[in-house]
Amino acid sequence: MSAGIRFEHVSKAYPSKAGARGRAVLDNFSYNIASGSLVAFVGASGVGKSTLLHLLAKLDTPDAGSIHWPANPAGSARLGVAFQQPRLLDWLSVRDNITLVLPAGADTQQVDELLEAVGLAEHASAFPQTLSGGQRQRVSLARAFVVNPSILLLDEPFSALDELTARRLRLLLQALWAKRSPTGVLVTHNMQEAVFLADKVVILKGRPAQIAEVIEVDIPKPRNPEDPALFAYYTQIMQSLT
Amino acid sequence: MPELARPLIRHRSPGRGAAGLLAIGRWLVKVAPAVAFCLLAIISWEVMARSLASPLVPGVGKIAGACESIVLSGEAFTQIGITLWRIALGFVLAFVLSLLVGISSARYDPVRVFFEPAILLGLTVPGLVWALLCVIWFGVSLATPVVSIALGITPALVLSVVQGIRGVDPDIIEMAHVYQLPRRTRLMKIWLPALVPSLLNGGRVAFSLAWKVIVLVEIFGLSDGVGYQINSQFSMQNVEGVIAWTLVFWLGMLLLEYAVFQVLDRRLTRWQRRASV
Repeated sequence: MSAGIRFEHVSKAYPSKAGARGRAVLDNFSYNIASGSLVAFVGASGVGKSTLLHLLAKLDTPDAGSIHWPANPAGSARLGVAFQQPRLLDWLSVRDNITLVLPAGADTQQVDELLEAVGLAEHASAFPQTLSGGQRQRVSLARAFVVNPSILLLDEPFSALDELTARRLRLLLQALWAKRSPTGVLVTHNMQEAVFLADKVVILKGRPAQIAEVIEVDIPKPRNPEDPALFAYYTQIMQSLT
Repeated sequence: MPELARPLIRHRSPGRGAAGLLAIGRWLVKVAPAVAFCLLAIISWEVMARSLASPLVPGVGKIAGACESIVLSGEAFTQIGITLWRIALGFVLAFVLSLLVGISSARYDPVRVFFEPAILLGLTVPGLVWALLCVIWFGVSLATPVVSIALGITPALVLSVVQGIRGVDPDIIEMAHVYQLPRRTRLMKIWLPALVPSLLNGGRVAFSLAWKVIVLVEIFGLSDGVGYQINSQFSMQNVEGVIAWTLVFWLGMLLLEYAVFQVLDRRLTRWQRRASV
C-alpha cells in the first residue's frame, strides 16, 4: 500500500523585494491526501500551487508546520516526479535516463517493461534530442514510475505539449497509475486535465492560499476523455474559480 | 526479379565501393579550401625567397630537403616524442588541478574569490617567465617542463571547467536533488559529461599554449626535444633547419588534432551530432 500525505499547519513566506517582511504564500495550511489517490491543486497563478509541490519535493522547507509521509517498508517515501519540461540528460540514451534514478545494482527489468508501456522500446538507445516533445515526456513519465514511487508529483506535466499529444499522454498516465497507484499530487492550469486524472480537485484562492472548495470527481477509472459527466465537473470548477 | 529492373535497383542503392568513393569525394571537397591555402602559402614563400635571394629566406626546395633529412634519420620522431611526453605529463597535472579548482570555484563562491587572483595572474604572466623560473628552480630535470606547462595552462583550463559547470541547466540539478541521486552518480553522469564540450575546447587552447611554453623550456634548460633542436639550428644560423623543425612539429600537432582531439570530440559528443542530423 502506498503512503498518504498530510499537510499540518504549514506556513511558507518568501521575502519581498524590499527584503523587510516576508510575503506569506501559505499560512496554517492543512490538508490530507488519502493513500493511493490523486489530488489536483488548481487556482490562479501565484496562489501557492507550486510552493506546495516544492515543499513535497523537498526543494524547499516550510517556515512552520510539517508535512508527513507515513513510513513505508523502505523507511522513506520514494518520490517520482514529472516536471513541466522533461529534464532529461541529453548525453544519456532514453534507457540510461530512466535507469539513472535507480539505486546501483537495482533490477532493471522494470525499465524494459516501462519502455514497452510508454511505447519507446524501439527508441531505448536513442538520445533525447532526437525525440519529439511527446516522446521526451513519455521518458520522463517512465523515469517517474521506475522508482516504484509511493508519492508521484506532477508539475503541469503536459502543458508544453500540443493538445492531441497531451491527451494521449493523459491516457497513458491513467494506465500507468492503474497498475501502481501511488499517492499523487497534480498541479495544473488545465481544468479538463484535472477532472480527467484526479480523484479530488482542490481549488485554491487568496493570499495566503486558502482551500476554497474540494470537488470529488466521482467517476470510476479508467475514464474516457469523451465522457460528458467530466464536463459537469469542469463547469463546476470553472464556476468556483470565477 | 525481372531482367529490366536490375540496373535500376543497382543505380538506386550503390554498393560499398561506390559509397566509399562518394565519401572520399565529399571529404576532398571539404578539405579543398585548406589545401588551397597551403598551396598558396608555399607558392608565395617561393616567390618571396626567389625575389629576395637571401640565405635568411631559404626556398621551398631547401626547406623540404631539411625536412626530409630529419624525418628519414628518425630524429624527428625521437625529438617530437620527447617533447610530446613532457607536454602530456604537464597536461595531466594541469588537468587534475583545473578539475579540482574549477569545480569547487564554480560551486562555491568563496573558493572562486580565493583563487581569482591566482587565475588572473596565471592568465597574464607570459610563458617565458614560467619557463625561466622553472629552469632556475628545477634545473635540468623532468620537473622543469612539467611544472612550467602546468603553470602556463592551468588558468585557461580552470576557466573552461568553470564555464562548463555553470552551463549545466539548474533544472537538471533540481531533478538530481528530487531523485536524491548519489554524489558519485551526479559527478559521473551529470557534471563530467556536461563538462566535456568545454573541456575539449579548453584542451585545444591549452595544448597550443603548452607548445609555446615547452619550446622555451627546451631552449633555455634542456638538451633534447624540438625546442632544443630549433635552438641548435638557430645557433648554426641554419634557417631552413629552424623552419624544418617547426614544420615537422606542426605536422605532428595536426596529426594529434585529427587523430586524438577530433576522434575524442566525435565520440564524447555524439549525442549532439546525432541531434543535429
